Amino acid sequence: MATKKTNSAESASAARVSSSVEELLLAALERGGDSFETGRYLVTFKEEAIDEGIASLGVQGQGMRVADARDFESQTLALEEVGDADAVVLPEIGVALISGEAAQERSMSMFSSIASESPIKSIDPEYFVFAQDAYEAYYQSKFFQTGQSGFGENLSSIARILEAIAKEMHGTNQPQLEAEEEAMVLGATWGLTACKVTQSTRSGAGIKVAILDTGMDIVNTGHPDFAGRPIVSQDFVGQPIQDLNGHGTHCIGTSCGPLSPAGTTPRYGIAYRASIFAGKVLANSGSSVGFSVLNGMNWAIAQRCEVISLSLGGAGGPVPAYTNAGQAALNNGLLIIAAAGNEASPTGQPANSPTIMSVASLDQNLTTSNFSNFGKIDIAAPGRDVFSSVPRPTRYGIKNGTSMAAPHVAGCAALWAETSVSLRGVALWNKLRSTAKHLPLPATRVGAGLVQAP
Amino acid sequence: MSKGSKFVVSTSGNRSLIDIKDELSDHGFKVEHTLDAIGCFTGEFTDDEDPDSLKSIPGVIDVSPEPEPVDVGPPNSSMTW
Repeated sequence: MATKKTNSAESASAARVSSSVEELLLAALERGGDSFETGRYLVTFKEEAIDEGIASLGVQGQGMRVADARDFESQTLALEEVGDADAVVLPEIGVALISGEAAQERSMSMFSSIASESPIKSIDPEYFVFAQDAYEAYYQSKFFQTGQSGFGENLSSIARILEAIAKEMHGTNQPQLEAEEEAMVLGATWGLTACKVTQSTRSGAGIKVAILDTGMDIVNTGHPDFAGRPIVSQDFVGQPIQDLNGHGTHCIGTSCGPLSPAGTTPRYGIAYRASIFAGKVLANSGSSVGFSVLNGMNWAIAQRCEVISLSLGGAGGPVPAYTNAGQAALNNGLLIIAAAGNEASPTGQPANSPTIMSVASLDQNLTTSNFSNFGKIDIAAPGRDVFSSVPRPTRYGIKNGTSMAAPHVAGCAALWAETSVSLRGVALWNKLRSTAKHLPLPATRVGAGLVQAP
Repeated sequence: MSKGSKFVVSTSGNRSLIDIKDELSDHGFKVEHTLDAIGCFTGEFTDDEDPDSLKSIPGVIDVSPEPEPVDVGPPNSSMTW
């Protein structure tokens, strides 16, 4: 009982009116469950009693410290400036935002009974809102393919019918469709199909793959598609590993996602049994901090990760320290792979180091994506409309970029590394290039061609 | 002015990092982190030294300022790097 109270008190104290979205999201993920609540409450006043309602929150009534939008210029309220206020009132719309702690202290909740003469119309939890395009894109047929023709939106209906039949025949205790049957019915992303991943018998078992990025969705039970999968993580930016950006989780999904994702989701990940090493070298804002990228490379090499993937970079010539890192990796039988960049310009750093494998982006028709950098390019991979995992509660999303192409190469590299202990470092580099699917495009655009799985 | 700015020193791998680190210190470079696995040091100068002066130390192949920050875009962005 005492533990429960402490947890909920801690949680309520994280839901201040001045809390950032990041703080609220992290606290909500740590609480667990499927709730999308931020921990704060919205009090709506009756239209005819707004002033009375606002007054009832302050010293005359509930005793809260109240910030009023009218105190700010043009009523432009900056929540970060309200300090330790318990409530912020928006008089124009007759609503007040109450902090989690203030609500809890007064036993306010959506279940509070409201007296008929009260100026309050309702008390409701505040919910997170997310962009909808991820959900819409998920249901679009063009991202899914079977071996023959694209069943598209019928895939999920077919899967459901088959599951229902299986349950009917075998009873609900039987496991649902075998993983291979599911993959056949549900298909995989266009990228995995193009890289011949779905035909491969390899899983990346025994191979360590380091993704140096914005972290991973791991807090509490973690992303459901990675449940029970050990993830070694290390922070280099002074933030929790929890990915509040989405980029890192997406890249880990592409390179190492599961063979059979939850529900009717198609397969989107390559090395489904590789050991995942998530190095947080980018803050949740998406930016590196100081020497975080170099520190991350050092860590991944010290951990002896056979495949190290960096979906990041910037303009400028080769950076000697990154070239050193690439060389150190090769000397140790490891391979660093980096995204070339999306500036439609010469390959950026770290990808332009001669000791680091640079990856260009391809569209679904296997032409180079119009944003893809060029020049020093070693290999190419799918980078347009790439479906993969993103942090809860959204779970899945579509992204574009050479950032998405690099993890395709990393995943395939892990599958190749599994085939033979001699395929390490330079030998692995050479194997990826020699087995790439040749494309009728200049090497400055696609390198050796489209990466292929063993 | 080099004082207070962060630098990364890259080494050739042919000499012990401990020996190089001692010489860096003698040349006015305070090492913050030794990146053993890649043979680099990060740190800063204690005074306004010429960064290139470190290249006279055997084993040092490069001295560069802190790399430009990289950015993959804000949260939930569909276009990245």
